Amino acid sequence: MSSNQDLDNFVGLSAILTGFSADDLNPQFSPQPVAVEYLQTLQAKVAAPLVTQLLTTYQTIAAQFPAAEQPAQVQVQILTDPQMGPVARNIIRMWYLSIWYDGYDTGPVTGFSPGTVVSSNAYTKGLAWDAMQAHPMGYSEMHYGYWATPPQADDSTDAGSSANGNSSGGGQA
Amino acid sequence: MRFSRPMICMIILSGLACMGGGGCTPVQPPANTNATPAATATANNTSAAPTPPPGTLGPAIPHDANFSDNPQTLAAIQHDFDVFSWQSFVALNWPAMPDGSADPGKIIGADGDGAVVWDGYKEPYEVFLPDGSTPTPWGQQQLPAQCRNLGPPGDKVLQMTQKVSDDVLDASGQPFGTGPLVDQQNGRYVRYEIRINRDTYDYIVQNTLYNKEGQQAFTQLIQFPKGTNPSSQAPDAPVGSIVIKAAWKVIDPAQGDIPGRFHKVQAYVYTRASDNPPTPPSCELKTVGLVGFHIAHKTASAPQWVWSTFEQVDNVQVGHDAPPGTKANFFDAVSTYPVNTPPPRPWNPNAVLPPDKRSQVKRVIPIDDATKALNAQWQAWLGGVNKDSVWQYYELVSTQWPTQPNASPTGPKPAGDPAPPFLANATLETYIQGNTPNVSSSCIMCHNNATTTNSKFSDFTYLLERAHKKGGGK
Repeated sequence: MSSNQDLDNFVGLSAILTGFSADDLNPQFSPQPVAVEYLQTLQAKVAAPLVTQLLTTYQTIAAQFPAAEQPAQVQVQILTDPQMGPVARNIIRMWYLSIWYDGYDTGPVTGFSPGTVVSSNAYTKGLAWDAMQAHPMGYSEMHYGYWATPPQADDSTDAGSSANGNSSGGGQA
Repeated sequence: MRFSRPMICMIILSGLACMGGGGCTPVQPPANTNATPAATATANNTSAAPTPPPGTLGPAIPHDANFSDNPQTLAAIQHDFDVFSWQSFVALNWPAMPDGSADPGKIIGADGDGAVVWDGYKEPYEVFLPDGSTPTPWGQQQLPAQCRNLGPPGDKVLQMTQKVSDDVLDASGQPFGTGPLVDQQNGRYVRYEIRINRDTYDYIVQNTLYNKEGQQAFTQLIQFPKGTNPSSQAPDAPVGSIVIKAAWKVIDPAQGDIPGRFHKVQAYVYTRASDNPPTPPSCELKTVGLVGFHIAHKTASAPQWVWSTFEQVDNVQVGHDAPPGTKANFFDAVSTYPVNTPPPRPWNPNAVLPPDKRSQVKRVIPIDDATKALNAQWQAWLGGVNKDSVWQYYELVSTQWPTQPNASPTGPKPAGDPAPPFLANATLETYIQGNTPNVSSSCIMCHNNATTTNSKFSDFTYLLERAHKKGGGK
């Protein structure tokens, strides 16, 4: 399995796990693709055979089922699996909180569980902030006074779902 | 969607030059060619000089980048923006006619050094007047009193000793640790200037954004004009807003400077009065050389603006084709002063610092290999026009552009995920180089915080913070 294939499978699986689109998670022109950092973290923290099992299971699901049925298959084949399930749930935490929690496979994970912020880049890109249209402590791109206006009603919360409706960053005149 | 291919080549070849006035004025191509004058440059060429594609070295400021065909990758688009940067650098530094517009009969560097197009752009102190009154018309300049009657007229007034002016230093300069840059050769402070083109000036004046009352009354989202490539449907499309920031060092051959490696001007070096240390206002007429050059240009493909930054090649290490004995402008291997550290306070722009207190500057993020290769190409072309051209001694550090240009200005990520994520000019962001989010220099991320005097987003320029009340006062 090539590294590009690994990344594609990781992003595809992550899209189902997080609810964000693959384009949101790994924009075509991102100068600092956090998906690559997360995959590298996964590969560094989890035994290689289990990572391979996780990604190939997703790849099989993607090949055999239409998109609408894939989330249910991920639930059945991955999240309920005693080995892959905890890893998948830790991937969700990593995407939303930018943290890889240790001990995820031995018991419940809480906010006080030991873990590692993946990188300074990842810290600024946690999906939790996009989901709530907020920003992490110490880092905000939002313009001065943003708190005086209501959040946007739509779900275009990430740069990846910018007004062009595509992560490729196009829309140029 | 993808980065579309505008018609820059057609613009250049058609001889439309966007000149000092900021608008686009037809320029007649020289006789016997349908390309720019560069294609016919021979007077000072060496026979082996490389020849750029016709129209490459031209006086037309590109309105936007020219995006190549598929496949589009991050590297390919970066290249397209880097080419846009070089085209802009050449056009802005094109020889100017007395009215400030580009001289279509000349070629950059062919006839030595001289007045260039952006010299005719307005400085902020001419726009944001202390009494909040209407700025002087485009093309007129007012000198500080201390600079008048100093003999031969100088070309520029250089008064800033940091990139962030005194007016906004408290708000934006000190939190980033910005400090003055001191020349290794002569111990003198580097001076800075900011200039705006006609499109920027017109937007400020037409919307009365030059004083606080006008900014208060302006209730819309501030949106400076963006450059749009002319088409048959819109042949008079605007060049867009451009803001120039330049860094200059005093040139002193007795101290080891090689004048032929710098674009030079005679400038009034003006120092404002200061309380710490007590310093009266002063003004000296000096020869200064260009060492840093920012171009910020709002374009259709980059509502977060395109940020191009150039340096003189000898800034942090001795550059190419240097004669024996050439020294770096801001680095000396034998100095013990800490690297990338501001000089000790108090900062006195009139002082000449001793060698052991002068700036020791290293580039933290190296210039990308692809950009280096592009630099070598353009430097060879400029040297091909004239083997003594000063313009061959400048290099592009990089171009920052938004990978998500359509990010909403009112959304959570309006900066558009810039590439590269960090960008610093060794002479303009000397002390904030690095790769720490929200701390290290990133043009778009920093200017994303710019506001008006009433705290509204000011469209990636800090200039509007300089407005005063009508009748005077902050």
